[in-house]
Amino acid sequence: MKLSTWCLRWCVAADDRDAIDGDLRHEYAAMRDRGASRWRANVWLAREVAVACAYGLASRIRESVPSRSGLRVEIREAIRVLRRRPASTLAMIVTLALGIGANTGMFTVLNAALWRPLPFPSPDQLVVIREYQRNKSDSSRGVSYLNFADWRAESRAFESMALATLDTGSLKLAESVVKAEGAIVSPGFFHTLGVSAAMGTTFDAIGDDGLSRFGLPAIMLSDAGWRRYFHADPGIVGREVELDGRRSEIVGVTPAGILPLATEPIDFWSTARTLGNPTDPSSANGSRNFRQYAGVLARLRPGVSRDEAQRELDAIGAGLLARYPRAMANRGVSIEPLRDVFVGDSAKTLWLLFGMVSVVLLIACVNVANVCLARASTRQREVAIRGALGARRIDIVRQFVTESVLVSLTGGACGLWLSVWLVSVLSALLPAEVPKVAGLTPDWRVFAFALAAALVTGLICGVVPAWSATRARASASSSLSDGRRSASGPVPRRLRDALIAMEVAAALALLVAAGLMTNSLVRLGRVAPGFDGKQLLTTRLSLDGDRYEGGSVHAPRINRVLDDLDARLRQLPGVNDVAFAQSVPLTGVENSTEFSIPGRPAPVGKGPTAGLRFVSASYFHTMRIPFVDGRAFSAQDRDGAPPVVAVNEAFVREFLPGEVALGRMLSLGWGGETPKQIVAIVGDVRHKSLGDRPRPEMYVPQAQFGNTSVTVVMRSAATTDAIGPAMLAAIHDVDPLLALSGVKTLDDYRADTLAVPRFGAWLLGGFGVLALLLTTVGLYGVTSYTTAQRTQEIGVRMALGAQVSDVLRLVIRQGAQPVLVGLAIGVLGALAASRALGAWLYEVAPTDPWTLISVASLLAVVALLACYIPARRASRVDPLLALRGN
Amino acid sequence: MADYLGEFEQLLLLAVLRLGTDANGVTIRDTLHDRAGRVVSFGAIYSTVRRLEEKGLLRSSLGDPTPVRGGRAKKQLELTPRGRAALGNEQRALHRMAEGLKLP
Repeated sequence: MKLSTWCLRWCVAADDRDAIDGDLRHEYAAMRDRGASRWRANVWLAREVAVACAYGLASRIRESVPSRSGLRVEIREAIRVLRRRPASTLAMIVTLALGIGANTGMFTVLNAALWRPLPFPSPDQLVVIREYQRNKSDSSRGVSYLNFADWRAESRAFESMALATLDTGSLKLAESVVKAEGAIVSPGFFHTLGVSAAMGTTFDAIGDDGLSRFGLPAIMLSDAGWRRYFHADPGIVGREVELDGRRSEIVGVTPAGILPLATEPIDFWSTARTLGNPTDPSSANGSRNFRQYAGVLARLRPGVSRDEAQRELDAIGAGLLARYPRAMANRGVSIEPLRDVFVGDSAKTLWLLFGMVSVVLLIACVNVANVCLARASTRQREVAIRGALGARRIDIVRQFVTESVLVSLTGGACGLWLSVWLVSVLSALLPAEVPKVAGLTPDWRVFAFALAAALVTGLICGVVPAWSATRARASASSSLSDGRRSASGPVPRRLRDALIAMEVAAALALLVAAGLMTNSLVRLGRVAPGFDGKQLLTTRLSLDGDRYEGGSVHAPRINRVLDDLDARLRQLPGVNDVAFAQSVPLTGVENSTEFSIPGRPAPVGKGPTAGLRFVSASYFHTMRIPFVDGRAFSAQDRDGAPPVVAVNEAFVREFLPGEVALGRMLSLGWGGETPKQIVAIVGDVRHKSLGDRPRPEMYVPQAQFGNTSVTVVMRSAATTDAIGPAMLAAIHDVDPLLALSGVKTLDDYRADTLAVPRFGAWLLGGFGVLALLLTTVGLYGVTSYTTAQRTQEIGVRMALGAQVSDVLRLVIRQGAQPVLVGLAIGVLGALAASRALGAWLYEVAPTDPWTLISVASLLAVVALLACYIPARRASRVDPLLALRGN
Repeated sequence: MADYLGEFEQLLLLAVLRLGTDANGVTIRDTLHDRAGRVVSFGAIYSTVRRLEEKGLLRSSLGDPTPVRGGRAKKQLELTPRGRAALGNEQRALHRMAEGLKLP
């Protein structure tokens, strides 16, 4: 009963309050008299009170919202007030523009990566299915053709599904051969995606054999490939081209904008058939072991959840395991939304950066709140008069909020404009891994975000000072009579100090994060990757196609052309070393295989795996990878000679610790069936990325396996521009039909692997500088304001004999107190929060003391400076002038 | 300008008219329940009363506080002449609209 009275007092207007309360009491008593239980009566009462309160609140809100003309008057009044102090109004607008601009810019990036709908119909139904090996450090995912075929036949959860994987191919044009980026997809891919051809047909119109109506392998061009290699020829459909040495027919062109399906632009599409006949167990498509395809694109049936689909695929997988226990041992299946596969790990980085940039907005907010607070104190008289004339507290708060919202909306508009500029800078820095659906243009979400950010900041910046200003209503009469402010000021000092402490703490945390990231980037840049990447030029070529492969791997033919290439390239001026390798470190190309050490049986599917590289004999010397033990591969290690293998130190540490590795035999799952003898132990190389610890690796002579995808590595003193074209020309001298990618140095690749950390460090550094700037300006503003308020007091002190140093000490001590508190909180906060940074840091502890100390001292020095300037000004006050009154 | 009334407003004014000098929150609620079969919350009644007061169709005075009401005064309600006129107009309009029609 008391509770209900209390609720009503808060919510219902005074005139009805007593009547309703009385009625409720009356009715409550009547109900109890009629024999209703106490519980029922209370439930009834609670409902009645809730309804009454809702009606009461609604009518209150209706009354407090001014009519449209009232609002116009209020806005005009607010503009008048703001224009009276143009300098501080401008400062607030600029501060908010910076804060909102940085946030909106970051939001634009986040939006393009995470929220913009993918440009396909019902994109939420699109998922990617991939297989992985359980209980394995090997986290690579892929799909084998035969398993895909079984899923497609047995599952009911999907409307359709199709295989896809990225591949490069040599495309023969009129006068040259180009290495084009392509994707191998199975028929049904475009149907699953919901995309139809811009010209011609898609593969959907073609049978599973992937042959066009003339019996040729069908290929499609992407819009980009069509423009790049065929000059947007409108009569392209039906044209015959040679892809990887096979005559193929172009059956269609896909529309522009169906990317982002890959970070590299795709030039052409071919069908799954090209990887081999599924009924031939020796071909890639014929084996369940090889997860040859990157993944399966599938469309869930409407209403089917991912969990249901997962259960179904698990059940199918159990059936497959029963039938093929060897190949399917420990095989797991994952289903992920298409969007997640695109975004991958970059989502975490983006969220981290977004969290950091919101700290900048917080600091901007605190600054503006401080300015408003200072202004509110000078308007004490105005507030008192309004109060005396009958203005309610809510009216006065509304006036303040109208002003701050006007400021923040202006700041937000400027911020939106700033963000467009910021995004153009960001897009140059943005790593290719971050997907950009429909580009980085602002859409309605960005506008809504900027508007919401502006409104929320405006409300916060307005309500806090208004509340504190109107709280002083009790002393209204003294404000009216005095009109001058006392030394401590009507602005509650505690609130002001708390705001400063918060600002300093936030800036410190942000600067620590920026410092850690920069520190980590510097260390990454200094990492010795295990090879000497200077002056190493690379180009990739494919030796597949009928001329080299003839349907199956043919080592002698490949060896012959590589020998010719080697001889020809060494003739180039200034070239000392030439080598070939299937995958070169830091290029993102990775291969691994299961292996066994004879005499040490491992359970099927659970054997150890290690990286596998096919390299030419001169590779280690060319890369300057040191020999720890054993002998180099020689020209004699060719097809026909006893198979050999080299392993790195990490391999020995992990698999043969304390044993004599040289001379041991290894059986590899890939790279030739015969066991190979370990003839060399070589130094560790950081293959995947600079930040990754070296992993166990095995090197197999290229000449003993005949791998078809080859990277040429060449060391030359000349610049890329000078020697690059000569390198490509020399290769074409040997075989004019070889398709080549461009020339890229290993230093280029190395720079690419640093793209994400560099992006993070630059962005965080930028945010940190912005935060430092805003904090300094805010601190300076508050200190100068409070010092100016105390001019008279300082004059008295100096008249009574205080020295300049005394005044300096006084002002600085008061200014420094909240800064020190803020630094302390900030250090604690940074220690707690930087743990989240751990995953992004390389060899820097999130609690790195040096970063913490240097950032804290930087902030302390800047803060001292911000206090010192107003303090010195105050100490130069002429006591006489000050005493005479401002 | 004639005052138009909503359906609930009419029911409420009719209840006040019927109750005469004994019209207050509790009795109006009971009448609405007994005659119109409506279960209405006090919040709804008072919010409508307030609107009708603002339109000048109802006026109120404070009644005597009784112990059962926890010492809270009653709000006694009464129709203004304008309220009577408005109610009469609405009722006649309704009557004329329904004249000669067979309703289930």
